[in-house]
Amino acid sequence: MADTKTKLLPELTKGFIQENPVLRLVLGTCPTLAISTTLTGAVGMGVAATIVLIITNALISALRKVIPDKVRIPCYITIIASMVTVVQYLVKAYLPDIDKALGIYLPLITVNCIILGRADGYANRHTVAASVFDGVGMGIGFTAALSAMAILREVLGSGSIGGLAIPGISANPILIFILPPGGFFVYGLVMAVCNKLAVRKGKPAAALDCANCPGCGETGCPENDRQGGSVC
Amino acid sequence: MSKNVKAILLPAVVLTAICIVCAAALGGVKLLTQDKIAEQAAAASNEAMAALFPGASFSDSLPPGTGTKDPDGLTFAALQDGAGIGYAVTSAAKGYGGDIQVMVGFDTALRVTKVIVLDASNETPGLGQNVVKAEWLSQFAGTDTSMAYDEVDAVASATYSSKGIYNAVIAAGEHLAALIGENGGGN
Repeated sequence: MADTKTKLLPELTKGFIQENPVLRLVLGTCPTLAISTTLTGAVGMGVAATIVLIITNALISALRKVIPDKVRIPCYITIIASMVTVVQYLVKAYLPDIDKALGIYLPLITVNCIILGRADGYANRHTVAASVFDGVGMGIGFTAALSAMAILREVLGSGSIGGLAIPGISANPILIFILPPGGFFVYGLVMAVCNKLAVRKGKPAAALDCANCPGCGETGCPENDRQGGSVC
Repeated sequence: MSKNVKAILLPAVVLTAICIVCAAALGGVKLLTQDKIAEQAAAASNEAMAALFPGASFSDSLPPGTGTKDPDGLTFAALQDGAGIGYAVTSAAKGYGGDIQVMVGFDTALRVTKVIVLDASNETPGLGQNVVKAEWLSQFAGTDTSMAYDEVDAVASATYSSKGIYNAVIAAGEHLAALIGENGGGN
């Protein structure tokens, strides 16, 4: 038991900084830029995406031996879209305040590539337990990255934090920070800080999971050659 | 031969099975939650009406007591001690990301008393969604359908959202005026 724990814990913590889905794997950029204008929105989106990610990771991992390789992507998309819709119905029915806050972003989780990325890059090759841990870790990493950006953008761009005005700067906020250009600006800054933290821990960038490589499927992938063409 | 058949059929069978299971799950959850969702929408609308006219009761006959109703079911008359004190009208207009839904309170002279946003969830958080703030909406109080868009102090960088609210308020006023006019109620 202790042995499994020591093996599972890194699966959880790697999502925080080392393989942070937003800042290191550069997945889910679109929802990140769109929702990081307010802290409440960021936390709500992070939690909703985490819940969906844990469910889909577990389901896809459990079905990994049943789903044929040829049709894996349609299978994943079907499962992910259904789970998102189920969560959407439940939130609408029982948590109307969160439904109001998340609005269009809840259905957008379907196309959040963190979910599909982890399904295809991790859950289909690992046990259910490891996949759940990966989902929790990735979800926390996503929420943390989103919140860090949202704090910067909301304080600078709206002069408030969590919807509460900050005296002194709320009268004249720097509006560009809640507009798309400011989003990219803050994204770059936070990413730089995260890279600094990740490198300081002594792991080279090349330690990132091969399946998350955007060049996968192209000829000349060294990892693919090394593994005899089994990756791409 | 049989291997080939298996390689072709198996993926199709598995995908079909997954689709059927997912569709069944969706249908089940929809059945479970649809009553609750309708309840939440009705509760939100009742809450907004109560916020527009605190302590009032509401009737769907316009003007009160005549028995004429809004054919679209969007308008309610507010009554206090049996006398009509105003109207609550639900209306929607296109904002930045989709429809913005508002409920507008009118006094008996058809001037706006208060605007409440029911749904602006498709507007940009932190920017377009600032139009739901009560202090911004308070600028509509006392206006009627003659208000021009130039008179609105729009939220900076959220022109579409601001215009959406303006259009919805005007649409509500025109809807109400047409109804009351039809019924010969005047003021």
